[in-house]
Amino acid sequence: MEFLKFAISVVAGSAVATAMLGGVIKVVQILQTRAAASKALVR
Amino acid sequence: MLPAVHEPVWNEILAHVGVPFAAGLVLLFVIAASDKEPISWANCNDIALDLTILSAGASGGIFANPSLIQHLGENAAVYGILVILCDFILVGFLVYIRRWRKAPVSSVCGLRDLFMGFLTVAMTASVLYFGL
Repeated sequence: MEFLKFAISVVAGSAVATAMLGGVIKVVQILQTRAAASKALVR
Repeated sequence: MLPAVHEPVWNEILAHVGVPFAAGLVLLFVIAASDKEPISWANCNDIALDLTILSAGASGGIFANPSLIQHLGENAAVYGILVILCDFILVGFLVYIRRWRKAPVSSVCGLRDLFMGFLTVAMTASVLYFGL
């Protein structure tokens, strides 16, 4: 029973952390693309 | 301040979500700062590999903890080897994926790689959480 709790916690925790970091990566991607576009516009 | 009844829940969330997320966030910014190209889903494989190396290293220190050894008994070393073997199995999958992946990496593939990396960190943090 304790092992089942351990396994569920590990999988669920990893899934939540993946979703959170996936969101951060998407935001960073958008910011970097915008920064590159505005730099190109200035040139 | 939350009542004492909720404390284990917050500790559990910190161990299973907070620790892997913080480690992933640090690695994300290290890779974003060091790479000339903008960050992409292809970088998730690098982040996941770094996470597995991090958790394998942390497992060595964690299984030398006297209170963890006392809780797990004489099988503590066996559990330690099992955790590190699971890390290496996931490293094998990640390296295999990296070798055979197609050029534009999709968000699904990137998130799958990240998930495998987070599994190793969450496993190490959970062993510490459940073992103490």
